[in-house]
Amino acid sequence: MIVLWRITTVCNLACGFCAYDRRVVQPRRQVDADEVERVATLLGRYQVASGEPVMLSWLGGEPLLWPGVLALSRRLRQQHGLRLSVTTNGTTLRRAGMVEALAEAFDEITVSIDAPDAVHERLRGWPGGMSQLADGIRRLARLRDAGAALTLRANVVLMQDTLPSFEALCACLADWGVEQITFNQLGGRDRPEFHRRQALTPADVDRLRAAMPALVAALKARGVRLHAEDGYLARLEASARGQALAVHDCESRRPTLFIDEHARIAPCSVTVDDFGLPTRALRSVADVAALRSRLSARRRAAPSAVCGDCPSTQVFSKFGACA
Amino acid sequence: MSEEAVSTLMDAWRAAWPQALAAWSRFTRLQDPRLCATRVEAAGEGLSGSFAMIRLVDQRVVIDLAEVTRFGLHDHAVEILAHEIGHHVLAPATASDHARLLARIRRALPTLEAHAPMVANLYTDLLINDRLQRQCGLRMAEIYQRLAAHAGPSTPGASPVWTLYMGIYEQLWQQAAGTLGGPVDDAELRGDAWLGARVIRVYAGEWMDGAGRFAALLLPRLLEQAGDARVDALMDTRQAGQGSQPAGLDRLEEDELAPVPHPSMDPRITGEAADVDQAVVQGDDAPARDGQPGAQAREPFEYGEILRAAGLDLDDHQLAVRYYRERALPHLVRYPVRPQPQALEPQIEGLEPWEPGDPLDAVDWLQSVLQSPRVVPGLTTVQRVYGLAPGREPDDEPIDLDLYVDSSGSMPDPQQRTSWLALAGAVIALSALRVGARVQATLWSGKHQYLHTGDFVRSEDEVLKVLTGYFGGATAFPIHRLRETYAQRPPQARAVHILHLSDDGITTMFDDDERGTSGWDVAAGALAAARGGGTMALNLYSPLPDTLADRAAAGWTADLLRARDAGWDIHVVRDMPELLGFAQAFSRRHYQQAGTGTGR
Repeated sequence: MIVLWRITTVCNLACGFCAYDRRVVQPRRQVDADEVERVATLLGRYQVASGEPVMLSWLGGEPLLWPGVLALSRRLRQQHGLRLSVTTNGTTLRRAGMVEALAEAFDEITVSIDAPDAVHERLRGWPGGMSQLADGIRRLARLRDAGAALTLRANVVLMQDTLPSFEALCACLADWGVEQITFNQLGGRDRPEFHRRQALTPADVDRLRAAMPALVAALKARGVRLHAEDGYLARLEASARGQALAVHDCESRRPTLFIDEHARIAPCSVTVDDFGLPTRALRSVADVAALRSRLSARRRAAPSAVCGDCPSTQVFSKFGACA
Repeated sequence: MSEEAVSTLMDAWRAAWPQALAAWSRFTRLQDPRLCATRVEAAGEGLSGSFAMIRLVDQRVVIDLAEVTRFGLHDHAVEILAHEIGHHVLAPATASDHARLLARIRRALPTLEAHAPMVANLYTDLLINDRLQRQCGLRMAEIYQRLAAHAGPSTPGASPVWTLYMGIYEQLWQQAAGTLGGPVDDAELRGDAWLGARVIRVYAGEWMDGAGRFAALLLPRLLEQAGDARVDALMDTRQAGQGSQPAGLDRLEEDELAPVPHPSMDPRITGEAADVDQAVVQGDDAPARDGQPGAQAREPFEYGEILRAAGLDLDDHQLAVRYYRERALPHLVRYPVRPQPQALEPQIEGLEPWEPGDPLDAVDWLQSVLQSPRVVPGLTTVQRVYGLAPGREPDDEPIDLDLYVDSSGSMPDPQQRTSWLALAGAVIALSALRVGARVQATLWSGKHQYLHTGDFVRSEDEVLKVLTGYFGGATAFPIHRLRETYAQRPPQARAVHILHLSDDGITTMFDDDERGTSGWDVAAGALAAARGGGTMALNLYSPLPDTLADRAAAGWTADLLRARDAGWDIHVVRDMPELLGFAQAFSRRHYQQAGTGTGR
């Protein structure tokens, strides 16, 4: 079980495609730390009782800006045997001792990076950020090579400005020591005005699909896994063509659950408003064990319109079949 | 409102203007207020969302009387007008100080910088209103009571920011808790309100210094700040900077870099530990930056965010033009001019009749009176006639500048980060324009990727717009541009200096053109036809060998050495010291080359 938890909507970057762009005036939420620890402890007990491995994955905003995230993650990992993961924009990597603390607190670190050059800095509103990011990733890779149990992954948002340099970026990431690369295409839910300018066209996706086998092979030869399964590429193509892909029974296809910043748990981030349950409802290991079927029942009772064109990358095996 | 009611209201507000001015000074530079009868009219003046605003660009107060009436504030003309005048007289006063204030507040609001305009507005409102209420006896508190009453029970609950803001007024004006909508039972908010009131009082005379502290106080409340109609109605400086030209923002000021203390940590505010070294609070422990006060430059991205926060509606490119102009101006150099064979000076040759229709200032009054003491225009009026005679001093003429800017992917995007080459180009181009030269600028990247000014122009904006553009594509110098510029230029035209801003990609200039002609030949021909020399300012990380005859050199190094032999003056520019060195060397070299000419 992989539990994705958006623990904060605070962010320090200005990404024109993101809902949590720091330039956007909106309430910023930080999930209650006590509730996070309570639920995580319950997940740890569930892991012991069921034998099913549980991974907690922090999302944001920028999750590394959430107060106490490192100490809590370390504690959950050490005391409850949970696997911990974080997706970060990398802005905190330059802090003294940060890389070491991350390696101690997490099993997986995913760094968001969109282009190998100033394009990334421009898109993220982070002048001078590329060199810091590259340096941070290299230092994480060195720690991993020195024996830290750490998976280092990069996630790329593909859009008009980043697609041309995707291959070059993959080569850079391989140089820096990243071992897995994932990608998603620019979505239009959060910032439609940006999406209009930058969305991939069907021709873009066709070119990407054509180039993918050689790129996957080249990276594999360098020990890097580029997650680009056919089903996922088909999802990208359908989106670019404006074709809806309905998924009405996603349980078997989706290894993840999602919790938002209000501590509401749901099958995925886009169905929180429809099916979300407060995490307060999880009081025991039995509640956790019954969670999937409970959410599934809610979904069947009142199907969500959004499932008519499922935008969940996990459902389409973004991380491959084994994720 | 009926027309008659509007007219009566307008008259009342016009009549209140002198009284409002008197609260500050009758000698301000403000124009009479623009009183708008309808919201549409107000929107046409740039006012929406609030009932009043100050425009710093033309120093004008704008009032939406329809909104004023809706909020029940029609009988507070003096208070509202005096408040807006306060934004002109006290804070922020000028577009530059408005932007400086925002820069300080942004520093104190990490990740929540988007709220800086609101915080700045609330802060300056507090400074102004406290003075008007206490020193001028105006009824500022009543305005907030009316606003609270207008919100009514149906309006969603007040945001923490509003409650704290009202609490600060209650503290400042010693009103009972909750009178204006401040906190009653929340001890933490009441404590913060006391701190906020202290910030306003203690830093009233140094309000720029208090801004960061005020923002730090509000920071926790901003985290969950959603829209609050009460706060929105007060935003009268949000568009204050629209159309203005704030200056001095290209550099971070010393106090901006200092850590921002929370008011509770500031002994001047708490009155505790008054013997604590003030330097700690005032940020004197901030690391020195190369021993130069205020030496750290702001990056274009932040510069743009501040200007936008100040209400300027500019895109990235327009912001970059302003940024590089501002950074270049302190470093302008003596741009080369050349002596002309002969200068002509005006020489009086006699008098001729002045007739109505001729310029009035051309009349020679003394000679006209000598013609007749009774002046009859067109009959007794005369004007001088001038001819041209060779002068004793030779005339000077600036050489023109032909600027080629590499914008391929290997170059930094000048709109995002400081590009030393773009800055070097701005320094030379602005220096050239200042002495009357004309400048042609060409931005280039891959094949068919180029844009340029229309010929040699005198427009700063046009040149800087090309200079700060960005393609980020492949590298292929548009050799045909160079070829055609000098093929078409008449021999008697001014001399031109050719300046390339690039990296090793400049060597693509030496590739064959589309006709199969060697780029070396085209470049040499252009250099000869230009007659003003050629320079390359390059972003190189492998320095060129000092010795020209380095036979071991290969690739682009060999090409650049050959170019140097061919007469190109090559400089490496990767940071500020190298830029300054380049600018000085450029000026010195061409000034000396000009021989008897002068640099201006």
